[in-house]
Amino acid sequence: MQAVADKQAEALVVEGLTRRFGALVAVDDVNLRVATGEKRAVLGANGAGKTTLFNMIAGDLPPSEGRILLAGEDITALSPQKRVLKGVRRTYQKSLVFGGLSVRDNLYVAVRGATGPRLTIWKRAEAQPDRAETDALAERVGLTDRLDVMASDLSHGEQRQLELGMALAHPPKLLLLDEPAAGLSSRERESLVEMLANLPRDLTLILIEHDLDIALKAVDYVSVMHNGRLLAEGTPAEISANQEIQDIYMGRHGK
Amino acid sequence: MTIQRMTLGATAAIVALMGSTALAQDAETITIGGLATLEGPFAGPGEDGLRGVELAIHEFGGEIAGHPIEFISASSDGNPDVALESARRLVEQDGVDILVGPLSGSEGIRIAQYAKEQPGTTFLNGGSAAIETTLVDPAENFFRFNTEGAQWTAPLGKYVAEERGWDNIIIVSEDYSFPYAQIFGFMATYCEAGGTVEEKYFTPVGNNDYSSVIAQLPIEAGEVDGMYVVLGGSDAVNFLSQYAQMGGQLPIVGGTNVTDQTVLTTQGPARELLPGILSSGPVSDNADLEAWQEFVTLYQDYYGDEGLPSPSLFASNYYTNTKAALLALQEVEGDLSGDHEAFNEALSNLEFTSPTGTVSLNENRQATAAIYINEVVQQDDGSLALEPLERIEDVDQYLGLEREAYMDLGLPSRENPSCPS
Amino acid sequence: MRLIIPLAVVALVLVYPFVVNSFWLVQIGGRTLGFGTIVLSLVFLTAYTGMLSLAQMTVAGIGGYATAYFTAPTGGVGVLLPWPLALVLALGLATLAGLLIGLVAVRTRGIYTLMITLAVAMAFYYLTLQNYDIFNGFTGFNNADPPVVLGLDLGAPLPFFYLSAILAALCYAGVRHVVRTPFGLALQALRDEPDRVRALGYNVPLLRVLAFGLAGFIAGIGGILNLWLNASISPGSVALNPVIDVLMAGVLGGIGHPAGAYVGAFVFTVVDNFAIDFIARERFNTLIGLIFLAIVLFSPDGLTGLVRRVSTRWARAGRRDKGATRKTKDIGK
Repeated sequence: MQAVADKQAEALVVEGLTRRFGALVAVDDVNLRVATGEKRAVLGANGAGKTTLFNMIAGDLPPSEGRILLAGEDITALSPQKRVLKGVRRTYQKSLVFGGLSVRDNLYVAVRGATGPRLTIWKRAEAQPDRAETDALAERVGLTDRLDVMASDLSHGEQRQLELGMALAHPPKLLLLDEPAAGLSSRERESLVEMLANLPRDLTLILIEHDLDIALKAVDYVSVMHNGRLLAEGTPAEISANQEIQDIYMGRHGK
Repeated sequence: MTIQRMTLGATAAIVALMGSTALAQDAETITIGGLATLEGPFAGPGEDGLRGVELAIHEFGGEIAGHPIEFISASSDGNPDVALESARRLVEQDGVDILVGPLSGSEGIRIAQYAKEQPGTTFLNGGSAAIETTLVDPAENFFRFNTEGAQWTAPLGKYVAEERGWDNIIIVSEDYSFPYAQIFGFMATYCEAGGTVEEKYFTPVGNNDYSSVIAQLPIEAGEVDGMYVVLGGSDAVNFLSQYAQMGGQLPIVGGTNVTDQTVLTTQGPARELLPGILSSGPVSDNADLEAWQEFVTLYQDYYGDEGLPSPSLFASNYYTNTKAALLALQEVEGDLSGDHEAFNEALSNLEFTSPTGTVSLNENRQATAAIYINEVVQQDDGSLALEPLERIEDVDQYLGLEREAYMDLGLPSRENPSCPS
Repeated sequence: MRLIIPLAVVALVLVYPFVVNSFWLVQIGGRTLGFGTIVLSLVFLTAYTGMLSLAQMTVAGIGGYATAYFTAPTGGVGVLLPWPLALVLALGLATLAGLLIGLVAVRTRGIYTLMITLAVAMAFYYLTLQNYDIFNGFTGFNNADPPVVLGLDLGAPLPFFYLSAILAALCYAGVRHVVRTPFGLALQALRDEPDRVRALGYNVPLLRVLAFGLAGFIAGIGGILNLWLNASISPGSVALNPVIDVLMAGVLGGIGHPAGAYVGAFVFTVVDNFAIDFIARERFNTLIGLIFLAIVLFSPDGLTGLVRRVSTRWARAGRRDKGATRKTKDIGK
């Protein structure tokens, strides 16, 4: 991956980001630069601080130190809602879909949220002009024929598809996926990789992944975290070839 | 199809349910409904109240001029909403001709108001003693043959001012309508006789710790001649105990409930303060009243071990009101035609001997009857009892004042009446 | 098929006054509709936002007290206003109370929400008991009758019943409508996964507070009907017993569906009024407790849930040869 010269071209810049929980330093002085349209993976064993890093970027957790720039704008102090409006979306490690709502309603809640949640109570969802956006989203993640099914009745793989669909509502600029392949079958993993490859070119993607194969197939560049610190960065090929990283990462993971 | 069947089934079930409960009214039978608090803190008094109703019906042999008397009871928990619900049930569902009840003050106000919606039913009070029930826009078909809270205490105010020479007192009271009425009656005559009230202290019902009030009270008589205490049951015991432990010696007169049996049988430090306390009310333990003795005998014979050792004031009040209804029914030979016209007329003009003496009604259908001023005395066996100092006949709703003068006093509240020193 | 149950209910409500006596009309029918609307406000919160509240009777009481304060001043307490204005004020205050309770409760979950709303309810009860300038203390307000509109006395049994039925129907339809709007969908999403709702750009605490506000508005309507049913209100109307009764009726009918509110209110009212015929009054709470326990044990989604499951089973049996089973749930539809 060639170095990016122009700061404006960087979708996300993280500078000296640190988060402490009491004496524990979960994320320790992490610096990241992610170019617009780049697909980046953050690798690391459990407890490396990946999810904490995500929580800070998405605004779910305030950092102890450091700052976060989105397309050159400092968003460190913004609420999660404001970051969503600026185009940041995330998913969670555990599948979080709205079980009591249909797939279409799930997607629609995401559409409304992404466009600045106008909480109208006068017109039913069916009569809202932006309701149609759910069709495109469903198609994007392959759920078109499941639109009227309750989310709780979906298979695990379908729920992860739905989650991705929700995160794609009203196209985001920066998409943070927390272990999107967790719990998927190998066939489902393949279609996930395909889906990720088909994302719009200008969408910046960061994903946390345990599965090296998926990560290395789907991304342009890799950052490796270990004990809260950034250990190494490089292209998938470089990381695969780095014996030290392989030892630490694989050793920890027991694969 | 199945849903249709279910809907039909449900409808049928509802109709059947209603059919079975809507009572076919027997023209011959006269139904009396008894409403009392059978739940909550007044469950004991409520139960005894209904014994009074049954006792009166039993005394008349269960029939009047060939009409069998049927008795149905319903319960409240002291909450006016619940009392109204039960009253509606008795009147509109069970179709009672006469309703006797309820027990407590706020319930009474609510039921008297409801009586106006039901001109075809005659309402007699049970045990409730709020002033407003028969004073503010009284219902034509609501009768109260027992005296109310202000009547009970009016003679005492005059008595302490005139016989004891008190002219400056303080008042300690629970903070709700019945104590207001008791203070109202007391102060109406006390202030009239020239007395002043230096301060009123109100405490919540069920209070345990009176130290903040007691800290402000004088230990002995001086500027202040005495203290008027309007607390009931455990509140009275707690307050008197704590005041005694502080070494308080201020002379005490009390509201009607300060000297009821729960207080007089207490064993703690409160007991040393009790002998000598004055109170007033419709009954006295040691009064040689024949009517009361007869009532006690009737009660004990009928209930034996099931009842209380001696009937409560509530049994007496429910009994008195039911007996009034039965006497009036007897007079009109069970004729309840034309919205009970003749019956209500007979009730209005009724005068008879109740367990507490002769009772009659005024134009608001409120009882005029005798009140005792009692002193707590220690009996030979060591127990405490109420010794009558004086029996005041014919205490009426207006406390002996002219109607206009009485109405000018307004309604009882924390502030009213007021005669500061 | 879908229309059969609603039509049957409408027909039942229309015919009901002509087959029952005034007790069943007002005390059972009127109370079911007014009390049921208060229960509906709880069911709305529980079914669609996943929040429990024990303060719904309190909010209803605020609506009732405000109506009494502005339409039936007593003993120098209250200000007489034209009734339409009084009702607008009462509903406004109930909504405001709902919002405020929401603000207090919104950071808590589950049992803590119950406890904090119970604390609010009890604080309000003692306030009404001891405040004389606004609530007239122990006595409260009497003679708070419904208005006479164009010569029609809304307090008379038949008009009052239909008034209650219309308002209850509007509240019910309102809830069914709101849960299909973007706001209602967001609430249900919140019920399922609050974290995810935040990640989608919603202000979660605000959503919760607004839900409490809407529930307050509904409870306010129920509170006004309850006031008119009794023509009076006093601290006893907002004491612990009625506060708990709302939850009992909700669980009895089924806290997962708005229809459960009225089913629960009806069953509760009937049991409340007729239990004394079958059981000594002092055992009444035991009886209610046992019924409650049986429902919780055998049909956690209440009587409506029971009916739904039985009817689904029948429907399945009928369609078994086609092999068609419904996959979607009814909740939220």
